[in-house]
Amino acid sequence: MSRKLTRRAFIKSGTQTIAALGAAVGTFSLLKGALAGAAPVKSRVILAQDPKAINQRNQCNQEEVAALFNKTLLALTGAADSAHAWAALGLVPNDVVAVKVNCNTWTLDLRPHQELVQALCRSLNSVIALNQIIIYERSNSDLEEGGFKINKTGTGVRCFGNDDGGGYHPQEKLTRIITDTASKIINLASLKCVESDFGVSLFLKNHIGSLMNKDMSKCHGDPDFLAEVNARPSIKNKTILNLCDGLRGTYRRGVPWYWAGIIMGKDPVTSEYAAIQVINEKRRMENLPILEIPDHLRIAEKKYQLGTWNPSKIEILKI
Amino acid sequence: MTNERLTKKKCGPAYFLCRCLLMLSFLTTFSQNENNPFIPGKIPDGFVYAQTPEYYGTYRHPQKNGTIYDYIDGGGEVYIKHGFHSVTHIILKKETTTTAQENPKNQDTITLDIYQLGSAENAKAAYADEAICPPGFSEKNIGAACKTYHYEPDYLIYFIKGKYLIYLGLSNDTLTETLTQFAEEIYKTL
Repeated sequence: MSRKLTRRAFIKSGTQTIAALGAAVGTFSLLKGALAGAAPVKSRVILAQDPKAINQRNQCNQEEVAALFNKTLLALTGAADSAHAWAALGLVPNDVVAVKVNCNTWTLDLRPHQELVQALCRSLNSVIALNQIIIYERSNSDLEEGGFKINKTGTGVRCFGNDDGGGYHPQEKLTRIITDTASKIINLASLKCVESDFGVSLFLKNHIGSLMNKDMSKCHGDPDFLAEVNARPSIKNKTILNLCDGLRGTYRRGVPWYWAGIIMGKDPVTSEYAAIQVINEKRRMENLPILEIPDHLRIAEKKYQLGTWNPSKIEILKI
Repeated sequence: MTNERLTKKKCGPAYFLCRCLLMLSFLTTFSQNENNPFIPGKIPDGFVYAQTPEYYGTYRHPQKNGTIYDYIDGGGEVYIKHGFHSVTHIILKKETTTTAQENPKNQDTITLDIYQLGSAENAKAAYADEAICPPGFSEKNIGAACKTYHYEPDYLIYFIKGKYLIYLGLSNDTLTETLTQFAEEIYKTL
């Protein structure tokens, strides 16, 4: 059927089109205005301390550590209980969670406290089975030195190293524990000041232990590489929580103190920045020069958009 | 050069001496890797080896267990700065107790690291470097001056002998005297 377009019809349809476009633009402007008016969501990180959680002989109180962990998780998410908190972080019942611990230590024992790891696993257990949790490090021997028992059975929390984890992903060049086996990652770092080119060994550096051995050394003297490792899809997209064991940490290389707390955040850059502030607070008390923001953190923010350490965009809550 | 001259040259005393020196050098290297002379002959009573001794070298000369980065990752940089050649890493543990079985963190351990830094000057510089031996130490005599650190519950000792920097770490400071005696023994025999 042929249709003749009269001048009147043309003008009418044109007017309607312009009106529709105008309405759309108006709606967009309104929406833009509303968004601009709303307070931007800040990246939250929690600094939680409890002097009863650990004594001066590096011995933890299991109940206090568990209570500290739970209240920190609730403060981070604003949820009423653990199950809702984990749901808010994106955990679903069929997830497999890989927990990266840092057992690489020398001169002083700064490996994760078992009591904190247990508190984390119990809390995760409100959503997933214990067997859906994998504690991992670069090798079984590192884990054993850190006080972990290797477990690859179908019962309880699994625990094994990259050397026992099915090899490495050919493209991402990361352990298959996090590329293939796990659907979510928790980065459990230790509060460490190393004063070398990195300044600190916290969340970003923890994933050196997710690399194949031959690539580990590439991080040295190359902050871009370290940031890039954390931007690889499995780490960037699967990480739901960054947790730092600060029950005992170091504020200068090889010198420990009992901060008696934990640091928790969703954003690895914000969390690392907050942990550096904790170390710097102690360094000020000891009349030591404060640590500058390390290059790898600047690059992680600017080049790889892994998060922010801009003080105006973050919210550090002390509880 | 004729074949006859070549044969004479190969069988000459200089050639024989060179072969002997090469063989000796090979045996020395081999024995350092597989039968390290720095393994202490005597370890403290009640302690046993927690694992076989480990040896780490540099990128150019990795040892049996790899490089220093395999052992302490980026922490190794400061030793490299002081001419690091290799480190022997030994962990001793107190014979197992019930509390240690329940929680491995209750296991009393002694860590011994012997860093070979190439020269006595390098060892002295490393010993003076606050990135290795931070301030806040107490001096003690174990045959020579050493630096001790008491970070409850840990107790640490650093000392040097020739081209070696020695680190001893104890996880339970109630055994401080045991560690001091062990340091004296190592200083004497190294």
